[in-house]
Amino acid sequence: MENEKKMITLKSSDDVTFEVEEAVVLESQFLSHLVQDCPAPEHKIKEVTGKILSKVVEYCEKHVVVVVDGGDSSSSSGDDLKKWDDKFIKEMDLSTVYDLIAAANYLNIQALLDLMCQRVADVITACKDHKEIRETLGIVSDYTAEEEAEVLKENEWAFD
Amino acid sequence: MEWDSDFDLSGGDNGSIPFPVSSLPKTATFGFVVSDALDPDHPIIYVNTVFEIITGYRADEVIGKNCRFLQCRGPYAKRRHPSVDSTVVSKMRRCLEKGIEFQGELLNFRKDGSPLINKLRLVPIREDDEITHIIGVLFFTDAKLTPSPAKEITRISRSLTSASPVGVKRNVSRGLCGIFELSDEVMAYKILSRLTPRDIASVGCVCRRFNEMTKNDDVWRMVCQNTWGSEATRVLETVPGAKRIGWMRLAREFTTHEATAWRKFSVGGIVQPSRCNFSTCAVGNKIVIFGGEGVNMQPMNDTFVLDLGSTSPEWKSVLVSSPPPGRWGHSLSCVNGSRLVVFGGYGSHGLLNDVFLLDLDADPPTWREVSGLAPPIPRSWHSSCTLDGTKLIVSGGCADSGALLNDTFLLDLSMDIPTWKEIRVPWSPPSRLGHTLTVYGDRKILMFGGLAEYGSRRFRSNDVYTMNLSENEPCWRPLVGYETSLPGGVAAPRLDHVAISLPGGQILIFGGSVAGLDSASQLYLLDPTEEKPAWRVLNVKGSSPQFAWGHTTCVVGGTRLVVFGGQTGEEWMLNEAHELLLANSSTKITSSRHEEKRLF
Repeated sequence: MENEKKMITLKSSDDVTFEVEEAVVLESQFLSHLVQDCPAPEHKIKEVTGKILSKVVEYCEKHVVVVVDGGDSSSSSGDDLKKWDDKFIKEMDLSTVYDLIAAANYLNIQALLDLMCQRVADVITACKDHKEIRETLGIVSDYTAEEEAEVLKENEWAFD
Repeated sequence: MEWDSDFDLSGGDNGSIPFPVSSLPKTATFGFVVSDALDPDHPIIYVNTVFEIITGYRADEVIGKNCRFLQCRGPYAKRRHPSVDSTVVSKMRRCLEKGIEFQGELLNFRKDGSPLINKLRLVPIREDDEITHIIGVLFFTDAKLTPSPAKEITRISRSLTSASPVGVKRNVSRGLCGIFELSDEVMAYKILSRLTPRDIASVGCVCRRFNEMTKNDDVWRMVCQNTWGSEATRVLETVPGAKRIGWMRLAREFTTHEATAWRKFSVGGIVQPSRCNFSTCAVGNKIVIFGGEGVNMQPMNDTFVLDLGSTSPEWKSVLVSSPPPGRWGHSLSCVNGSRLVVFGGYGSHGLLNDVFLLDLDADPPTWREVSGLAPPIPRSWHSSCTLDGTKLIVSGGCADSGALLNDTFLLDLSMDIPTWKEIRVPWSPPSRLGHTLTVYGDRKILMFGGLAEYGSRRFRSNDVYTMNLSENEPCWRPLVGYETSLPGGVAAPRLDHVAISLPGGQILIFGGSVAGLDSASQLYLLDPTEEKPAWRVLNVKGSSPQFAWGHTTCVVGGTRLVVFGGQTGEEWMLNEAHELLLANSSTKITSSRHEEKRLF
C-alpha cells in the first residue's frame, strides 16, 4: 500500500494538537469508529489532556510502526517492542499511569490499557502487606479499628 | 408484527413456560428477550423477531449469551463501549440482584455497530419464590454518537478532569485521587485480576471499596485463570462442584491446602480378566482403564469405564469397535477434554509405537488409529502428558533389548495429518523409564524420578528437570540433577509414582516404588516457579493409601486424585480406592446452587 498516507488531527481538552497518520488512530477502537462516523479532518477529544494524549500518541505510533515494519513478525521486533514498553512505563509516575489507564479505557486501546494495568498490578504485588499497599497507592483506610480487625481475620488464610 | 406463533421457550421437555404467555401482547413492535435466571450468567433463552430485525443479531447467535453483548459495539468488540452509561448498568445490576423490576435507558449497538437507544424494562419472573426467568421488553430508537459525546460520557470526563489536582500537599493525596478515579470495572477486571490469590486478600484489607471488589466471584475466576493457567481453570469449570463452591473459596483452598483430605471408598462392578500394568486416565467424571498384562503376560485390549458421577459407581466393560492391539506398559492421556489417546507399550509382537484415539461420547464408543507420521521408536514404560489440550508429549521409556531412552517427542493431534516432531535439545537428562512428565504454568513441563541410567548403572532417581515449551528452542534444565538436592524433606528416589500439577504451579508427588525407607504415602510439594525451589511435606487428614502407582492413579475434574489398589499395593484391586480431595468442592457436587455476583 504505497498510497499517500491520510493524516488526522487530534486535539486535546487543553487544545494541544497532534497530527497523526490514520493508521495510528486506528489503534484506538473508539477513534476508529469516530473517524469512520464523522470524517472530519480534526477531532477534539475533550476528555483527554494534552499531556496524556501525547503519551497515547507516542505509544500508538510506536506500535503501528513496529507492526507495519515487522510484517514477518520476527521475534526480535516483538522483543524490541517489549523493551520499548518497559522503558515507556518505567519513567512514569503513578498518577500519569492512572490517567493513561482512564484514557486508554475511554479510547479503547486494549494493549495500552493492559500494559498500564499490569504496571499497577506489579506495584501492588511488590507490596508486602495491606499497609504497604495503602502507603504506595496513597489510600487512607476508611475502616474502623473493629472492621479492620475483622477483614484481617477474614483474610488471615493468605498471610503466613 | 405478528408474535411468533410457534413461540416455545421450554425447549421441548422442560414443561410449560412459568408465566402467562396469553397476557403478552399479540402484536409486538418491541424487542422481547427472556433469560434464564437460574443460570448465574442469565443466558438468553428466547428473543423475538423484532429483536432480530432491529439489532441484526439472529436468535441462534445470541441464545446462550448474556444480553450485555448489546453494550459492545458489534460482535467483535470484547468490551462495553465507553459511551455506555455505567451508572445505568450498575443500577440494572442492583435491581437484578435484589430481584426487583428495572426500567431505564441504555446505549446499545446493532450487529453492524450502529448505535441504538434502548428503553428497557426488565421484569423478574418468580416460581415458588425463586426467580426463574427475567423478561426484557426493549424499545429501540436510533441514536447518534456525537463526535464529542458530551452527555453520555460525563462519567469519564469526571474521572479524567477531576483527577488533576496534582501536586497537592502530599504525594499521598495525589495517589488517592488517581486510583480511586478509575472505575470499579477497570480496577476489578483489569488490575485485580492480574494479582495472585494472596495479593487479592491483602488488597481486600486496604479499604472498603477494595474489599467490596474482592468479594466478586468473577474477579476471582479471572484471578484463578491468570495464576493457574487457562487449562487448569477449564478443567475445574467442567466439574459442576467447582462452580458451586465459588472461585474465591477454590482459590483459597488451592493456596492453603487447608481442605485437602484423603477419603476411602469402594466401587462396584468388576474388571475381568484380572490384569496388571494397565493404564488409567480420567475423562470428565469418568475413569477409563485400557489394556494391561493378563496371566502369562497376555497383552489385553479391552476398555473399562467407571462413572464417578453416578450414584453407585461401578466398573463397566465398554464394547468398542476396532480396539487397538493388546498391550501393557503403554500410556493413556486425555486430549481435547473428551478423548483419550493411547501410545506405545508392549504387544504380542513386541514393542509398539502406534497411536489410537478413544471417543467415549460416540455411540457406540470407538477407537480410531491415528497414523502419526514419523513416529518415535517403539517403547514401553515411557512417560506422557498433554499440552494445550491437544498435543501429546512422550519422553523416554524402554526400547528393544531393554535399552533406556532419553528423547522427547510431540504429536499435535489438532492437525489434519498429525505428525510427530522430535523436540531436539542440546542436552538431555539421563535415559529413564517410569518417570513422570507434568505440565505446569500452561506450557512448561517438569520431569521427575524414574529408573535412570547413570553410566553403566541403573537406579531410581529423584532428579527434577524442567523445559519451557514456549521458548523457540526448548531445552531441559536441571532443577535438581543427580547428586545434588533441594532443601526440605527431599522426596526419595522412585519410579511409577504419581506427579500432578496443582493450580498455581505446584507439583504434588507421592507413591511409586520408593527407594529407602520413605513412605509411599508421604505427600511432597514442589514449586518449580519459586526462585529457590524446595521440597515441602504436605500433611493431610484422613486415611491415606499405603501404596500408589502412577499407572493406577488419575485426577478427576482437577479436584479429586483417585488411587486404586492403595490398600495392599496390588494394582489389580480395583474395587477399593482412595481419593485425595484437593478442595471442599469435590465432596459437594450436589450442593445447592452457588449464588454468583456479577459485574455487568
